[in-house]
Amino acid sequence: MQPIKMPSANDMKALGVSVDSLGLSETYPWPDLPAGEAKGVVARVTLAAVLSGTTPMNPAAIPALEQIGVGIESADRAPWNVRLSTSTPDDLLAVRVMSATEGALLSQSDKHDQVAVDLRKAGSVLISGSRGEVMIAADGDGVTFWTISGVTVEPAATVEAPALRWLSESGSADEWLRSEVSQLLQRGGAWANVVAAAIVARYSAPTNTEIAKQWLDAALACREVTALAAPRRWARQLQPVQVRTVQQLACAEATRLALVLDDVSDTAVPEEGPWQSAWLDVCHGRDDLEGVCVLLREASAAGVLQKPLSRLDTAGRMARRVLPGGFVPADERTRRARNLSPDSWWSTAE
Amino acid sequence: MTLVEAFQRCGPCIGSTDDTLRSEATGILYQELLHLQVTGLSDSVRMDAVHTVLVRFMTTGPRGANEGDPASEERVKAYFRTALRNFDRDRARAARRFTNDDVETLTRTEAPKETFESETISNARVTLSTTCIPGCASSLRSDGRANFERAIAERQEMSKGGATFVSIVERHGTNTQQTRNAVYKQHSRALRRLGDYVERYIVAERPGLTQAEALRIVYSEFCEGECQ
Repeated sequence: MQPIKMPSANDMKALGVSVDSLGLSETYPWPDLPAGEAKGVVARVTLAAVLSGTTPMNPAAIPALEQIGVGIESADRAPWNVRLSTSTPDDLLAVRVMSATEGALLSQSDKHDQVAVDLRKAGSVLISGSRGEVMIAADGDGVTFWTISGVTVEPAATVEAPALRWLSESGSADEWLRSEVSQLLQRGGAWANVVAAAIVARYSAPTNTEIAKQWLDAALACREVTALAAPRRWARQLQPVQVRTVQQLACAEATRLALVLDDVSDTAVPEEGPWQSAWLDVCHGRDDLEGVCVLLREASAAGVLQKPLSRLDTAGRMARRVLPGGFVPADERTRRARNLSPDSWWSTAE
Repeated sequence: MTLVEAFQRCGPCIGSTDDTLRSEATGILYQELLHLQVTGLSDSVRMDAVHTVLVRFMTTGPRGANEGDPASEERVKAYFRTALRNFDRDRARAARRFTNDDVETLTRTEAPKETFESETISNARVTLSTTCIPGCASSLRSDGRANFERAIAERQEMSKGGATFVSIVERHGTNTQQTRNAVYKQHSRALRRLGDYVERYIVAERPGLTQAEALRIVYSEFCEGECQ
């Protein structure tokens, strides 16, 4: 019997898992290569094929995963290239991998209940299901699954964005944009920093129609526009742990906005009052999320926001419809938002 | 690449492998915008409008496939018609401010092409009045039900032009701020309850995208009306 190898201390710390919380484990050795391939117990497949269902998959029985409500199917004899799924589409499934190796993890933006993982490439993995969490660690010999007791809380990563530098480098003369970005960077913290980057990505705009034509010509000729490219490239180079932090903060912000929205709906009356500033807060917050989505899409990580935003937008559209028309407040942000999202509930006409 | 795919993939080039697709998508939308029929948009304005609208769109992309985004060629065209009209209207407003001319001479009014058959809208009205409103009412406690039904009946009157908000307020007492606020809150609560019910109905019954959108439009007609 092979000795159980523990996941690295750094990986466990980064995933928020303590040694004390690791419970029972099971280890599965990898089939031999290349003999395994010759025998057909190792599949040469892409994760795209695993996720799309074009590759035959075998249900694997891993008790630790069954306990937390996550199903697993494997393309190989060992749990190597696997498809993880929830028992019902609305159940929770989150997969965090420590390895930044390309091709270790694949999900689809429109299917949140399925994820394909190459466990050998992924290294340390934390699976969160509706009934708990499982830690997985792979090395050259095999893969081990641990049940986890208690709640794991991944520490938030530091996220910093040189947003003012981007504005300077692109020669932006937009004082409003600079002021918004400065205020955010001054506030500091991961969320304010990512929103600063998001606002640069969303609101960097040509100052006149001639420059608009130049930007368009650049796009048609497959050339970059510095102002638009810098924040997007920044988003693409974020580490997985930073992307997860942004995703979690974005989901938390969507929840906060939904609560404020309820308050606004309950307190709005056809006269001026505190509900108006609360409404603007919701509109700005939703617009922040729209910008953050632009960045997360660059990092192929926006899918997690789809449901929270869909719920928020349903509530937002409804709230907007019943607000007293003549008293709905507007400001520079909501007016600019209309130029970019003309059909949005959080923007206003001039 | 179809127009809908171009809508989803258009975005700025950033020096990645996706650039070719993004550029191709931008090119497809550009050609579409150049030839899009928009009533009232003069040729002198068109090119500026097309450039500005497309760059604005590009800066928010790639959008991907989002719920509520246009899912057909017609919807994509309608989206950009609205965007071009908005550009024209904003430009006209800015010009009026500059010349201190407050006469609305440049506003174009083009009824947006109705993408719904009138029958679809009629069916949605029937669903709202015969299924959603009674269904929502019956889900409430008896004391809340009466208030809901009265508020909805009043909104129906308002949306048909049979009554103003003030005339309804006067039915409830003297037209004071307090009374207006009280009536507004009753209406607001009833409309939000109905809106929640409509959304739940859509999720449960899965009436299809067009019918669902028609139901939302019909619901939003209920919400129209100034509360002053």
